[in-house]
Amino acid sequence: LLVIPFWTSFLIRTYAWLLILGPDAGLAGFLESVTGTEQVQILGTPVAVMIGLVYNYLPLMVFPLYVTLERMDRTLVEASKDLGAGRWGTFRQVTLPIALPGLVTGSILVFIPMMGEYVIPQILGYGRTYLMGNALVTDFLEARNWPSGSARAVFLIIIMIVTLAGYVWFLNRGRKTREVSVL
Amino acid sequence: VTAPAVAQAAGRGARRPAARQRVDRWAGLVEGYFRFHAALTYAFLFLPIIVVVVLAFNARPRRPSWEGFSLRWFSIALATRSSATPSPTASWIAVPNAILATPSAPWPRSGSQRVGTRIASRVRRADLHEHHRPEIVIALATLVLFATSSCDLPVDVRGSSSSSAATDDHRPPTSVSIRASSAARPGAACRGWTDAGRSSADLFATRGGPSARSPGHSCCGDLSPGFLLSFTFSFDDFVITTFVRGPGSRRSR
Repeated sequence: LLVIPFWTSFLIRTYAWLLILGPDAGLAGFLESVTGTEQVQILGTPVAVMIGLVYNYLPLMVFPLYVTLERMDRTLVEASKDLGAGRWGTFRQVTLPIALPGLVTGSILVFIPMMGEYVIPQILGYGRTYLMGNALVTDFLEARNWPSGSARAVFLIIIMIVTLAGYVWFLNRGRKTREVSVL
Repeated sequence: VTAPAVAQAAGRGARRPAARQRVDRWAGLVEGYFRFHAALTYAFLFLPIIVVVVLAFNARPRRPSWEGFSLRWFSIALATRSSATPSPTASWIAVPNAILATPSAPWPRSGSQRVGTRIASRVRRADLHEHHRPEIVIALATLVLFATSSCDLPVDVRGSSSSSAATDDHRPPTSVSIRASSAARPGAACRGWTDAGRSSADLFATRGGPSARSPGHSCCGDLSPGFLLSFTFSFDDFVITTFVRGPGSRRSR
């Protein structure tokens, strides 16, 4: 069920949020009528961009986590409970350490494409919420300053390489003691 | 990690024997919360789709408020040429994608098992890095490459630059999809082949190729999910098309 919405077009889903968050029949209109305030603005704000980003990148976080938790030995949880640990204790000391590689993988998978995101801030943020993708568009397509745009792209790649290096270090660090899952 | 963690958790639990009973009383509440959370997540995921589906039948063209049921937008969409052209382009991108991803996808699993830790680790790292390139950077790199190359080709010959950028961008997820479907097969056969002295090329010819063609009863095997995924991605691609066919893509010289 989590995957089904993502079989439809990314653009269509993003434009649908334009309607849902919009002032006419959307959330902003609803909030206006409930609170009685004149103008509730959601579109064109970082909140709208954040909702769009969370919506579109949710599966990239869910899938690695799902794979990690699916592979987890359920008897460990049962053993922990049988030995008297509570729900929170079992989660903190058994489930979370096992799920940590999936959490890190998901975070990387979300972080890197999100850095270059351009469509969502443009549609839901009206271009006011500025991400690296918008800066690249300004340089390449509007200012036609390709060297500046290329420098930004190199900066983006450097951030990506540093993040990935940290990720590889994390995987290697835990290799001896933890079963890791990469994609 | 898990065994000491369990012991630690158990140790704490043993010091507080009444804790388990106290937690169990909240079981219904916790389950209710998770049900509510799941329902909220599904509502969040499906709401945009429902809105779009409902709106497609709305008679009123401009405002999102409901003005009555109508099917005329479907007939208009089907009659427009712009609705038909993406299909061949997306197929054109999806076919090389699936073909390119087929040998590379099972490689880290099947081919690197007997090549030594050092090489296998490098292959895995390269494979990992391949999956983490922002789409926008690929689009820009393609634009710069085509626009500044010494050959006198225009940047976009029948969508060639868009197609190549899209192929480059969509190959990693296609490769993941193919790898996921090939991962269901046991790796023991592969190890058996290599232990029997077969080379990597032999291994791919005997294992990778046939598995890509027909695992089980499917005629297209791993290729079809890869093709479909790439096709879906290419069908509504916006970023690559905007960049590669946008301003600056036509050279002045």
